[in-house]
Amino acid sequence: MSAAERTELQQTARRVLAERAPMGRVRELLDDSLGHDPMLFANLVELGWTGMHLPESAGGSGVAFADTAVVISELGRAVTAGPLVSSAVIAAGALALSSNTEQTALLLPVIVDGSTIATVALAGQGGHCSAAALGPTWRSSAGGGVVIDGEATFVLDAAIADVLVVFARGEAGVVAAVVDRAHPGVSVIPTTTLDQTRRAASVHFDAVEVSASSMLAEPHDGEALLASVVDIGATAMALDSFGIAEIVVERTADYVKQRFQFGRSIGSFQAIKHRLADDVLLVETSRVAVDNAAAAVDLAADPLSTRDRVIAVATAKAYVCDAAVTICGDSLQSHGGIGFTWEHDTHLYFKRAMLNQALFGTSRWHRHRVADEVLPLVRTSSTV
Amino acid sequence: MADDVDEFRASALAFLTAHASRRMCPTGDAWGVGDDAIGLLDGYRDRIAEAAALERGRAWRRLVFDNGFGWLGGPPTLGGGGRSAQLDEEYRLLEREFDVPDQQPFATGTHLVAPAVLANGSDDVQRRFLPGLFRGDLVACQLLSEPEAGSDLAGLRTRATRDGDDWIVSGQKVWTSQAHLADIGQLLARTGAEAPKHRGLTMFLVDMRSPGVMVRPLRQMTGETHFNEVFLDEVRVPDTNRVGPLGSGWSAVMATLMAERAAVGSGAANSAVDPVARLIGLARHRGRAGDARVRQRLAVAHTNAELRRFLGLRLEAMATDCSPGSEGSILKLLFSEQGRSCGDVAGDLLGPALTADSGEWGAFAWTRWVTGAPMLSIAGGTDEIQRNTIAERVLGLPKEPAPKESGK
Repeated sequence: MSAAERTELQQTARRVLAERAPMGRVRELLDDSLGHDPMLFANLVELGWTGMHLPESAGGSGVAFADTAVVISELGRAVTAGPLVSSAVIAAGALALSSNTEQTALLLPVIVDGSTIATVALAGQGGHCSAAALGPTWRSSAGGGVVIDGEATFVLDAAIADVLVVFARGEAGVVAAVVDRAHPGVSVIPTTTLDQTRRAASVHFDAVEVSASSMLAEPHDGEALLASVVDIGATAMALDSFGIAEIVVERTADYVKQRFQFGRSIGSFQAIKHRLADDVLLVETSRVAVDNAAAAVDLAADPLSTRDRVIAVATAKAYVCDAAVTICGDSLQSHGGIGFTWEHDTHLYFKRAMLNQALFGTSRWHRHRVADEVLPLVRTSSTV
Repeated sequence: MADDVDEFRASALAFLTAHASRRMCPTGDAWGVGDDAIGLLDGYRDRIAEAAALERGRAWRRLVFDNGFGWLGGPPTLGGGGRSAQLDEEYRLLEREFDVPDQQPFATGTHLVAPAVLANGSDDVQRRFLPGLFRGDLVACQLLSEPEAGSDLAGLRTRATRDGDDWIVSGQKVWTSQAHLADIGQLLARTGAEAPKHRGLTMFLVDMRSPGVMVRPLRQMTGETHFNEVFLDEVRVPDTNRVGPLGSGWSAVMATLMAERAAVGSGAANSAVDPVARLIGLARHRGRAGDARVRQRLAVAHTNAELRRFLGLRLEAMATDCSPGSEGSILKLLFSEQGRSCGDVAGDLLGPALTADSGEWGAFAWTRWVTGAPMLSIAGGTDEIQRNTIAERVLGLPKEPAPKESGK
């Protein structure tokens, strides 16, 4: 897309979400049993947003990831509920990158048309997602496939997913496989999360048999696929946080202009002004960070070296997700007491930003990845 | 356009290859080899060496200009190339890969003074000064800050009084980089006695060799001398050296200041040594490369430097020609923060070796960085002024109400 088309997409997304998923609706869904609005999701599917950067052969539009990135940020900005990112961006990314073209051909089109919801299950206890920290484990099965055991945590939208893309660790390395959520031995236990605009669950695997035809990656390429998928997820979280950061700065600036104390707008006090100026700096720096990350995980572009991709993504994930939390905290302080109330929207942004910080690798882990690239140690280190 | 740039690069490379050799070790990666200096300000202790370096730089600058690479974005009538200003940046980046005499003394003229002259000066002023600034014939300095006018620059007191075809200028300026080398000074002086403070200022170009100009070096906390005080005692400046109409000096100089912030923030003016690479080398050398806390700090340092670099490139592409706004303030704040944090990490890695010279390569050398870093938060507008600018220009927050005149 050209820059002008991208701007138009952003305006459309902002308008659609303001009309169909305004704050009142977001709040209704906080305690909803499903946790999202299937009508809204159907609208987003119709708009083509579930397949933007996916190949045309799968029903997608084949545009750059940077175009989907615009939509992801708008979803964060509007704190929208729903499985667009978990299914059509992250799980679909795993399928698109897999060498199992049969599974790709089977599943991508139904993810794009919204009839199937998929999600990735990989994180171990504490949400860590390095190869060594994966929750699920695998062993070979008699039929040439694998048997999966263990628990994956922080699985987004698992309760409404039809299909799970599971990453599991084993003696020989990491594998990935497609598993039906209804498969015997799979149980989904919803997690109570700080951010109520999204749903996550623990998924337990109890001797789940996976056939050879369902394998997305074998031990020789599993770890590389895992890193790519974690990078897509991390980029999506950074984009979501970027949307939050941007709107929270705008809303805070509007508030401090109209809030009067001591006979003047509190926005004229340097104590307020300087904090917001620092937040503008975080937003503008975050903007280049997410753009770099979005370019790095593009499915169609010439792949970057792993080093460049990891640096771009890990940098963005740590920097932008931290920035959004800082900005939300600053916003709370600038709003004073009103910002601390349930009725005020600040806590919705704050909590979503905090969950983004935790999903697909903590800031600390991503900085660790950056350090491993710029200052490699002789022995590999991946402790967190 | 892309083709133009490729073709331009090829011709610039041909010129550079013919007249200079490539830098041997552009990133300075080799630990313990060569000069370990790492600082934020150039500063010669030896004035004779400095003057000699200036002459070498001038000779190179002339060669570049006479071969058509000195001012690509400038109008052909003034000796410029009549092409895109972006090509000047392209050339600068290419030239950095070659071992050429220091061009830093000319940057004030080309990057800060020239844009203000081009935007505000009469044809006559432009013709007399602009080619010289770009050809290295004229080294410029900025006569802006005063002892009583720092952040509140518009409160400056240096006065220019009309006398026939001339102005008589008296006052004191401070923090003037390279005043001792400069041929001309960009002066901001009060010309309207009654006008409100911002509107009573006018910009002039002063011949620094005029009678009544006295330059006194100012030694800064690094121990070196980078800045000067400049005393102006009834200095005669012809009216033909006035830049723009009477009372227009503030807006002319603000354009310069924005450019300066962007220049300071982009790090364009700083040493060729990459501080983060140096910190990584230091961590290795001191056996701290495996320390998880050090690794986190190095990752942050790397991240911040990379993001600032990308932000600088983006803002450069956005701010066409010479109108950088608050972007410069953002870059400058990022850089001052990074100046401090790199110094902190160095201190963490070095411990006492930062404070006493043990002769260890690349250790005590960091004192120049650490003692130079505070300058980044002050020069070209303090961090606080940058934050005001960002909050007011980007977010539209109201200005601080002006204090009521104290009754006298």
